[in-house]
Amino acid sequence: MRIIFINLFFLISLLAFADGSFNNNGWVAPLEDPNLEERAVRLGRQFKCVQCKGQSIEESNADIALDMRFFIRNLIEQGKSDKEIIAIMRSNYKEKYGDALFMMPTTNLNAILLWFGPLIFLALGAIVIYYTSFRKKKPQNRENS
Amino acid sequence: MNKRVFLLIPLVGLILVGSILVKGIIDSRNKTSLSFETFKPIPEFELPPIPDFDKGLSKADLLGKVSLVNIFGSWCMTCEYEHPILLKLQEETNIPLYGINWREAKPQDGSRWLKRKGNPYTQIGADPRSELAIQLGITGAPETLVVDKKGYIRWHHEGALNWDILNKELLPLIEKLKEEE
Repeated sequence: MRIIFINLFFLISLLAFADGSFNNNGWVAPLEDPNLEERAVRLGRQFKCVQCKGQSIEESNADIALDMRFFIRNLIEQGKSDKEIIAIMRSNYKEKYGDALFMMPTTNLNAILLWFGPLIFLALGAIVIYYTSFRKKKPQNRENS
Repeated sequence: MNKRVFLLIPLVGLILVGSILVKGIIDSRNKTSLSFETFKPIPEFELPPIPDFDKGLSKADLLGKVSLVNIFGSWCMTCEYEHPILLKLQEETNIPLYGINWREAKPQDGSRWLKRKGNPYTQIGADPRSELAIQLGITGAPETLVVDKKGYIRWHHEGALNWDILNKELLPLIEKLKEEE
């Protein structure tokens, strides 16, 4: 009997945590218009959650990600276009994250160098190997040495 | 012999790229402080007061003086560490310090926390759903901004302030900004 009471006590105390521990209760209300909601989801998938990198704010349950979803839905309701919303988010987190705010890597010179740099070096290496090993098979007239 | 010179190109390239990468590593290691200078207008905002406080916080409150804006929450452990530093700063200087009480689970949590620990803030606004925080580029608490007389954010610091940063970076910057028109 005592054990049941103790267990009950703990169960009830758990309820206290369940109630109102978060402002948004871990949930952001979808927009009423399904088209707008679809836009919000599509936009949300483009932004990396700033707390838990690697997930988009649509996937993440971090508080700040939930608030960002809410923020984006507010902007959509204000009639902002996708481009405007992306620009707003970019400028908000410009200094801290730059291009790293986006799930999709952006294409600028740095990124292109990062992706294709290794290929360039591989090609250079191939040229060197070609000149050093394969060309030797051809008869060469050794002038010096 | 002449042809052999071309064979050095990859080596030179490797050394060049390698040194750029090593420089990057060294630079990022030297960057111990999480602060950066910036020049961004603070957005128009109007935050409600937290329970038991009369005034909220709006952009108009920040104009015409160099001020500090500190983002805090009663849930935030680092804010607890930073709090005595803010109290001492208020005691020793007359720099207006504005608080943004961020993401409290219950509205009264912030005011209770301040009642218990003391209030270093001139005025406080509540931002339970990060509407201002996201516009300011906040990613965690505490963060501190220096706002100039015209309402531009000039300096942004992530994490708790400490006396080293205050004396070396923040206070000299504030003195400098005070002289601006």
